[in-house]
Amino acid sequence: MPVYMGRPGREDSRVSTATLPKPAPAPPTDAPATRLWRWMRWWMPVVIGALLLGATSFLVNLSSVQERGEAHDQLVIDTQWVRQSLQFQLEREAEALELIASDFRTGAVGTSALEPRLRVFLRRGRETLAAALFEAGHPAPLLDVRDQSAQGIDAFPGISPEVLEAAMARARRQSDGTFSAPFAATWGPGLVLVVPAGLGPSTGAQRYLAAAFSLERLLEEMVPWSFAQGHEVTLSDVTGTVRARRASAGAGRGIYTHQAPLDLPGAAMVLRTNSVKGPPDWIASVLRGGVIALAFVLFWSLWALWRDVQRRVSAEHRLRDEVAFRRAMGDSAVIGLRARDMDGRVTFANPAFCRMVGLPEEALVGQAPPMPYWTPERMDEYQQRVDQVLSGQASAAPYETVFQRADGTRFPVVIYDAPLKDADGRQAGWMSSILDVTEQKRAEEYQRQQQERLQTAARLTTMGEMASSLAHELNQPLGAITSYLAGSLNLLEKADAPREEIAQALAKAGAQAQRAGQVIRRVHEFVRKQEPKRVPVDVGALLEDCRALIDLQARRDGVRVSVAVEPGLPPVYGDPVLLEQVVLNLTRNGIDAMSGLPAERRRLDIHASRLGAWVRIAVRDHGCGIDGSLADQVFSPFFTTKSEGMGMGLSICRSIVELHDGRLNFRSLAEGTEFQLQLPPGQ
Amino acid sequence: MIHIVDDEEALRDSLAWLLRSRELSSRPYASGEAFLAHARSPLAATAAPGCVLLDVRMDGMSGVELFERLLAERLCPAWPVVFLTGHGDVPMAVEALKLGAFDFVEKPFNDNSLVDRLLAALDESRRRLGEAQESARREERLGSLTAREREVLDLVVEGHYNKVIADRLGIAMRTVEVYRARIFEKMGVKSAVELARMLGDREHP
Repeated sequence: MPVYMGRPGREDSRVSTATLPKPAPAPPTDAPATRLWRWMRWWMPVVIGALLLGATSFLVNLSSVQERGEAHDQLVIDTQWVRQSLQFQLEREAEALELIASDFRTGAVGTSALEPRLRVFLRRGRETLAAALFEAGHPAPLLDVRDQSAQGIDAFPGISPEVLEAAMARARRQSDGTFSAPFAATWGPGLVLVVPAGLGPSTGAQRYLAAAFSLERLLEEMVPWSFAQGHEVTLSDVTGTVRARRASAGAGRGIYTHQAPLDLPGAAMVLRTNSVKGPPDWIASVLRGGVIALAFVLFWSLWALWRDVQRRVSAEHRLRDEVAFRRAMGDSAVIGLRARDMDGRVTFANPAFCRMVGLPEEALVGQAPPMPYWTPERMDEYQQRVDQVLSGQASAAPYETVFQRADGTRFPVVIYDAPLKDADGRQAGWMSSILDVTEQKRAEEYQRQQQERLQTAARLTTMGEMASSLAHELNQPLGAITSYLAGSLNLLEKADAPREEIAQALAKAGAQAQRAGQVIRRVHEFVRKQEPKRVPVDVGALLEDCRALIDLQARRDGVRVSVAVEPGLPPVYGDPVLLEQVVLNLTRNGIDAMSGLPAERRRLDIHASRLGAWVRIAVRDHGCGIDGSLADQVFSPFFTTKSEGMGMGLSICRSIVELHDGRLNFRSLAEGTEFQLQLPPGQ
Repeated sequence: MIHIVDDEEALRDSLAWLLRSRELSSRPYASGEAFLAHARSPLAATAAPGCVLLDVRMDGMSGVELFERLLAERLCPAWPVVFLTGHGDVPMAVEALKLGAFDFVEKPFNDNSLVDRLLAALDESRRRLGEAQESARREERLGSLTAREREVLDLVVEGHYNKVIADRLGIAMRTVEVYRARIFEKMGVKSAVELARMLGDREHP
């Protein structure tokens, strides 16, 4: 399952939070299947691990047992083989000695020939140390032949007489060759074979042929070297006393042992083998330990993995919550949100921004400048801003501009840019909040218009009041005059008109006419009091002061304004407020004249320059110009081409300019109109 | 007699001159207060036909204020009031008309038509005076009736027959006839119809 951790970067600018899948609804927690699944997810690894551990231990154990069994079997076989060899060897030697004894008894072999026969007998094996001929009643042998390999070993003298006698006694009883029990002689453990050899010719005493065997040599000779290397081999008597031992490879471990009875005539021994091979246990233990350790490691890693998965799941869940939360925030925001990467490419746009510019999210995300919502006439401005923002030079202050909807309508916006940091704290782009200030602007504009209307109304009210009082003032004398005249006429119709009185009445009428004249004069004087003040005005500063208001007018209509002031212009003398009014009126007219034009033609040029000794301020628009037939009406009061106009602007402007002894005129150009305000230099 | 109320001396004088040329007598007042004082004084010849020419806009008491005062105090009811209005005062004059002013003339006026209106106002004044006299005479005659005669009179005017009246009042029919004849005589009428017409104009108290 993918985990969305990445922030929109340069490489994967399209992978943004905007393209995140909608978080799936949380699965119902009470579904039994889910509970089973959760249980299984929890316990399955444990169960499997336990099974694995059990199976492995069993296998290891089994193999160990098997190995031990095999080794033991081998030992049994080998031991039996050794036993057999020993038994055969001893039995064959017993037979050989019996043959000699028999020959000796019968006399086929004389006493003199006995010795060579015995030497031949002794050569049969190294284990036979010596052979001798005994006669009952004589502890010393009649003949003692020693094997060459046993020179220096006093075979028979080293044997205790009791042992020999016991063996002889048993041989005599059984009348057959018999072995003595193993004994310890001076030269080591030994065994004696005694065979009755008839009666002494002279003494009539029983004679015996005896052979002394060294058990150690027997083991050395008869146990194969390879077997001896791996095993300790011992021969014990029936009491369990070890009589001979071959342990060329060291003592046995007592793990693999076997004993086999070695039955010889007259003697019983036990052959015991004990393998020096250590038990396979240590390997098995290591193996088993390894397996257990591995299983534990497996468990631990499973647990770690499980914990990690849990953590991841939980982190993912939190992340999803967070993403949903952020998404809800972004979606519900009324403010447009837009993220850009370090190349200026849009990586995210919230619904409010999409609504604002009238484009679907897909059309915005991935877009690089120029953006579809840029208005064509402001491309340079936007690009400049983008460069500023991307180079980090942009100020944190809100930035005000105009965007364009998909349908071409424009709307003013305020943009706040903030750096966007990725998980490592590196800047990955920019996040901007975009505020549609149409309503605000509209409200401001509305308020301004209201203000203007109010002022106009106030002005009109004042004018109306003035007119009303003027009318009243004039009505009085005029009414009186007409009354005097009507009365006089009435009287004149009569034959006897009172001439004196009529003359008086007419004089009074004349006086009233005078009075009316005075009213008029008073009004004129009142107006003269409103004459403008005259101070030196710097034209550059004047235009600078107007600039903010001109820009306000221009911005609303998307008009570009250029102001050029020729350096070193002389000051003009006049009322700066009135002159500002004239300039603003001209710029307003110019801007209004271009309202229906394509954006790139909406340019207003203001140029202040010298005209002889005079100063000229030219306001030039690129609108449709003034129709020739209307040219002479332009300055007349109540002439207007605007639906909302009063038609007073230019008329008042001209009055103001004439008050300043200046001139206001215009000329139509190939494209647009230029109004010129010409002012004389001050005195 | 035409009472000119205007704070403009020249206008008063010229109007007086004009009225004199049409052989109408006039009397000027320089303010509303001055006229009010005259109207309240017992010397005012309110029984003679007359009218008031009143300028709407004056210093001090305005024309409309004065008119309302006159109405409130029931001063010189027989003199119709003609307003002189200047520019912009027309709504005020219309208001005055609703209150019962006779007419209004807008300044600047056509002098002779103004005089014609004043003549009409004087006619109205005479009519009002005649009406007032008639009413006074009627009240006087009614006053001469006895209480019993008034009862019978009311029933007669309501159009009941003598028999009904007799039943109502519990008197003999013959007596009713006697009352009737006496009422007719006192009221100076010859028939019940004439009597009803005479009393029909009268406002019921």
